[in-house]
Amino acid sequence: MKIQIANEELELLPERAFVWGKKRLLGLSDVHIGKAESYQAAGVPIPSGGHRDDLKKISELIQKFDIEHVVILGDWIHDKNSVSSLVDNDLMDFFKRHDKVYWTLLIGNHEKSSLERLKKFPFHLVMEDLVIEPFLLTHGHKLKETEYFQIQGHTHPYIMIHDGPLKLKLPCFQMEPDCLTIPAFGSMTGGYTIRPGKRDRIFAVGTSEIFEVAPK
Amino acid sequence: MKELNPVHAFFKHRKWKPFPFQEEAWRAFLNGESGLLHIPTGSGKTYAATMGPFAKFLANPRKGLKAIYITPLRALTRDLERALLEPIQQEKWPLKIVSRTGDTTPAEKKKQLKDPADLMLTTPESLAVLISQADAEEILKNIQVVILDEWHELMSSKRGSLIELNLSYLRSLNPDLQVWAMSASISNLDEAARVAVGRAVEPRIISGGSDRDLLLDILLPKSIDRFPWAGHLGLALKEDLVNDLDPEVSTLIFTNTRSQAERWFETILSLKPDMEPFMALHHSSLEREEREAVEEAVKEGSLKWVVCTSSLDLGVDFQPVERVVQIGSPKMVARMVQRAGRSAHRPGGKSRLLFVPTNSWEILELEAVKQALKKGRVEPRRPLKKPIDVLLQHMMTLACGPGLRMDELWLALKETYSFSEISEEELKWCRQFLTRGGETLQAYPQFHKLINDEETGRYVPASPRIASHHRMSIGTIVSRESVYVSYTNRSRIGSVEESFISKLKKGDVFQFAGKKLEFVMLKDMTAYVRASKQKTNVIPSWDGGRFPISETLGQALREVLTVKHPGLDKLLEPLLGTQRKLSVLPSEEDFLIEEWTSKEGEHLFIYPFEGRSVHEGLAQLWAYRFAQRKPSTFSFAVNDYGFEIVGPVDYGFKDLFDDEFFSEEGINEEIGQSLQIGQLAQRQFREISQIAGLVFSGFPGAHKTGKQLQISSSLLYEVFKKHEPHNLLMKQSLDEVLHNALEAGRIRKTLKRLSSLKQNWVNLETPSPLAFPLVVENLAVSNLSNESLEAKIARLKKSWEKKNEDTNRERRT
Repeated sequence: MKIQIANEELELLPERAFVWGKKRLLGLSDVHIGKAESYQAAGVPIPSGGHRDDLKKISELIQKFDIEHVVILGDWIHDKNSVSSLVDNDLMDFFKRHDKVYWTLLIGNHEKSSLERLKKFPFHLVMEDLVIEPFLLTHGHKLKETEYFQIQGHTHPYIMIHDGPLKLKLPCFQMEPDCLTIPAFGSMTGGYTIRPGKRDRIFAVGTSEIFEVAPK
Repeated sequence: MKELNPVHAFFKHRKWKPFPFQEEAWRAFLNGESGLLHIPTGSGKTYAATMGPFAKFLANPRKGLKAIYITPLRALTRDLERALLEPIQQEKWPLKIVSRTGDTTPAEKKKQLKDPADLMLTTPESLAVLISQADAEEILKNIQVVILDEWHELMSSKRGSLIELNLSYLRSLNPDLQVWAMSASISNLDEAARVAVGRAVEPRIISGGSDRDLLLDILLPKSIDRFPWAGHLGLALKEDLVNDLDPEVSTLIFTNTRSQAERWFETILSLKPDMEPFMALHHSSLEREEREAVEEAVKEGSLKWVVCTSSLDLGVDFQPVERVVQIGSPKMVARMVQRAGRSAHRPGGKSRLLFVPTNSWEILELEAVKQALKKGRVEPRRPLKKPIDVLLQHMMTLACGPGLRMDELWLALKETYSFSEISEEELKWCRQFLTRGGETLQAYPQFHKLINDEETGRYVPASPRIASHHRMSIGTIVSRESVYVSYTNRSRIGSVEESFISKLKKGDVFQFAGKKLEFVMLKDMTAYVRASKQKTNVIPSWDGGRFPISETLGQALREVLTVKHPGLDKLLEPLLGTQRKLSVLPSEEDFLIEEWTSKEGEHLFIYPFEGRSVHEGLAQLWAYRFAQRKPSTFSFAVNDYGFEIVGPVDYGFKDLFDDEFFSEEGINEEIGQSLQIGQLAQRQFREISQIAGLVFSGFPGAHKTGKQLQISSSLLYEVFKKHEPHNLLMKQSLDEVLHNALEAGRIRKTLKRLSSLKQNWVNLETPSPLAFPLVVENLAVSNLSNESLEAKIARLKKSWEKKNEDTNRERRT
């Protein structure tokens, strides 16, 4: 679904990412690679391999939109226990396949401990936020005052839709007058139901479509 | 038997005479037998169960814990302790009793170790926690007898399965273990006894203490014209009820759900504000201190009218209670009898219950109860069939405590009733699940929960953290997504479901715990409120709690529909007469199917009278079969009397219907296909994943553990569905939905019965009295639909478009 923000055209994708056609830029957030491994370490038997679906989705989007620059707005790796040779090998292969792409990763403060590990990948690492006019891309913690239009991830927004007896809870893009919050990209991520403000526009993610939610 | 001398002495000193069933029970115990005592509450069952063991311990004194008495509620252990201390103190017996529940402090637990008692009162969960301790064997190796209270209640839930597994461990320590269960009246006492005593022993069943005379009265509306055909609240009769209540008579007023209890409490209070100091509310979402205060006040006699839910169903001895009111059909004959029994607790006293119907049809449900009682019919309570989640929890418990040996476990399970049919494959799957995470070796490289100690051949926890996590999450009672409600000074009132709070804005006033509260803010899973004087109609609702009508009661209802009802027929004439006029009033031999067309589409109403669970399954099954003949999406409504399928206009249900609809072939697959079942299975998986230890519900006190450990069960479900569809827990979810929730076994029985009846197809101009409640249900609850997500979104968009058109049109005019 194409929308206009700050005089630029962005396309919101049902894969839970967005494309800025003019700059051939793909933006996504909260991938949480290796979440399964972290859970295994804590005694919860989630089978490994979920990350492959996510990497495949990114590859497909890169191809489809002829992407030159990918910005990950944070939470690429789940946590320090998300290690396994399977994950690392898959990641190496993945980046090799896309060696012409420029990769940027925004690091939230809570990810600083993973810095060493992240340096192994071809990311251009940026602490907290990045300006590409007219946008300010940030992991989370929306800034109060800035001349730029903010785009952030981190909150994993979900919208609860009621229409009479019909009830649906779906991931969504939340567009406030000064900020766009994108949904979590990772397949194994949960989310939080948001309470949209009066001036917000909400775009819900269906199975293969995006639709705007009618205001109450 | 001279061992019984001290017992007889106690009775003699009190000037009591033991009942014959008590003597029988004591002798059976001293003879080494196990079995079941079928004795109503308040008739002397406690002494029947415990005096035998006391006599034995007095005759052969030995140190160490020798008896365990399991009850469902912590509150019961306190009352029991009092009752059991009486003879001990009066006769100066050298016996010691102790309680061990979630309330017992660590210091007390330590003391219990050093200086063990002879008998321990405890709950199923606390016993499991005890087994999970390193010194479990030391404490439990001398147990000779286990007594199970309210067994009919415990047996048919996962707590019963947990008890079976606990017992299987105790039997491995002492093959001569004796087990005595106590149960109210159910139709399968023999099965209940076998579940308790295990397969190696022939149980003895001892009945005693006659079921008292039961007086069932009904509060009737003066005219049925003003009385609704549908609904569950019944406020139409509020003035009649309040006028019937006596301020001097201690009365328990039962409702079927917590919301109804809140609503009725507020209603009665507003009609009789003077009763405020003598009235109280009691349900499971109120803070425990509050509930205990209410219970004490009823016992003392300072509270006269208490509005409650099933929270007051069990044991606690309320001597002063003289009257019981039941609002709305209790849906089970046994529950009606049990609740009536809360009045007049003296043996030989009469039980009285006043039934308040909440809609016209319920008036007949009381007639059905009377019919069932006349024929001596009461419900069975069935145990669960090898719930894997509880087994996994038990295996972890053993690993944390004495250590888990698979060969010993195999033998122990073979002696239980519910787990005896477990296969080697299934047990192997469980072991792999706990040691490797699953079947595929490569799939869980980081997983470790249990490891094999090569020296002892036992499985033990991989780390102390795993063990302490497990001990904290032992139990089969699953927490819902709830939020605490507290005053701003932090004093806690109770809990409500998160979905309710999420709809509130600051300043909104709602009623909870019988008080008017203004919502201030939500922080850390607690909703802070302050007292308000504003009027409000907003009352929280809690998911769950609507039980279907039992098979026993449903059958009785079918039998009484068309017979004469002395004293009621004139009152019921507008209801039953209208049903006869517009349609047919079905007798036992009729199978009634009604059709009606509205602007929503073509409606099909079907009335098996088998309860909403069976109807949910049948609705899915028949929708599948209709769709096979002519594809369509449908919406459904279900209640205890029947179900409704709504299709597009001119769908033509009747022409598509044939005898194949009664076929029992492929039922599980066909029902299983429906999307609705997928949703129900996912919801069931939530419970199962908590019990099996897959999701950690958090440390007590801390509401959300680090995000790292929080994973929603619905995500897990999706992951397993994709990568491990043969996971036994997935299978258990589907099985539990099909067998327990949807009662697949009963669906077969129902299909067979319906196929033998005379089919009556009726075309309606307007909904009949039987159809009306279903039409209303559809409007209220319709999330039952076999639509995919895409179809739902399409429907949503259409609805918005239409609303837009309407608003534009309004603006123009």
